[in-house]
Amino acid sequence: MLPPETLTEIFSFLPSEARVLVACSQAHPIFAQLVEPTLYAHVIVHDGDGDDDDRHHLKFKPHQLSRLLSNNPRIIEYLRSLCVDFPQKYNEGFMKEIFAMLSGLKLKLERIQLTCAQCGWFCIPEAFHTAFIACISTPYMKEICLDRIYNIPLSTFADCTGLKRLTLCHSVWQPNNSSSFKFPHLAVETLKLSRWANDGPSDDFLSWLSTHACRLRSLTLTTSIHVNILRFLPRLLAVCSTSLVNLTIYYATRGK
Amino acid sequence: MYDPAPVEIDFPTLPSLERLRLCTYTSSLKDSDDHLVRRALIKITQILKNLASIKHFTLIICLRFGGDITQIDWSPLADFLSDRRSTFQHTDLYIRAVTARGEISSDKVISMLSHYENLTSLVEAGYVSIKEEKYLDVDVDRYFKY
Repeated sequence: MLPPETLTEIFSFLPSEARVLVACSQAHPIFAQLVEPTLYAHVIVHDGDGDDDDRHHLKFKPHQLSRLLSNNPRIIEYLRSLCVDFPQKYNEGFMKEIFAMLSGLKLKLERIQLTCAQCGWFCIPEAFHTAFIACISTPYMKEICLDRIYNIPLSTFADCTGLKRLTLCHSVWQPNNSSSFKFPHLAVETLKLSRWANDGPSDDFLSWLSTHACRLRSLTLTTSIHVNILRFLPRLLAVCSTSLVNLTIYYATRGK
Repeated sequence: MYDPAPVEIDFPTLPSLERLRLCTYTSSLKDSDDHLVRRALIKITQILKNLASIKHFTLIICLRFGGDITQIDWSPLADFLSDRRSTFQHTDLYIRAVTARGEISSDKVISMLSHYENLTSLVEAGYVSIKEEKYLDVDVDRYFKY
């Protein structure tokens, strides 16, 4: 049999193959231990009523994951990336379970993703805000992805000093106010902006970016709004002109 | 009217930029609009001339075209890539065309581009890849479905 270090290294190349890893873990008791760091590195939390198209990662209901982590504290050390797939309809029980998990367990997440059908930040309970902000305001947190989370204040990221990658898809920011735009800490290296609405809040956010995103190395912009291409993008490129290495622009115009 | 963006972007000097990926849809084009595609291709080459540090370029175009796509003149792009062979490490081209009768097959698109000998020689030498739909990555595929 190969040395455990070698097997662990081999399993580490299969981070998106949960089924394969589960099969390996069932093949031999030693394998069951060796696959754990990779198997639990990225998990998805959902309420069970969404589509089941992601078969590459482990999926749990909130209480299932909480129980797993409580019963097996070592898995907390392995869990690096968490995707919370919110139910299409507001579900208070789901929210409470997520809140309990984020606030009750000392997770060392490097990545968190919130995916929503359409969700206003201020429709989410305050307790969840607090738990989420505590979760991302750690030196471990490197990447945040928000999909269809509306009106999230920029100040949410005020203490994300280690954040390297930020993805905002269909997300709109809270209208400008003095507290939201004062801090200069958001020094991400990779920024993906996808299809935000062309309204006041977004303009404020874009203006803020145009003066603060000076360390960007990678920028992906997906938009169907001409003014973003003509006015915002040149300003943003100018501010990160010396650092930018990768640039992707998806520009889709609708037929007239 | 055809909107040639994103090639209208006023790019500042980007001395560190190594990878550029431009992806665009066109609005519905009429039979006589093939010269507008040519104009857009010329603008793209002008942008690239000003971005001297680029090593890997990806161009993704989805044409919604009313006429015969073989009438489109791709020579500005083919000529430019041929001239820049020494500086570009690699170029990926994804070209997808949709007409009122449906989507043009990848084979027909590749056949159309194969008429440009300098482009063909770049493909044969490994400098340029012409991607077929089946090789599109997830992001591009999602984009085309948009």
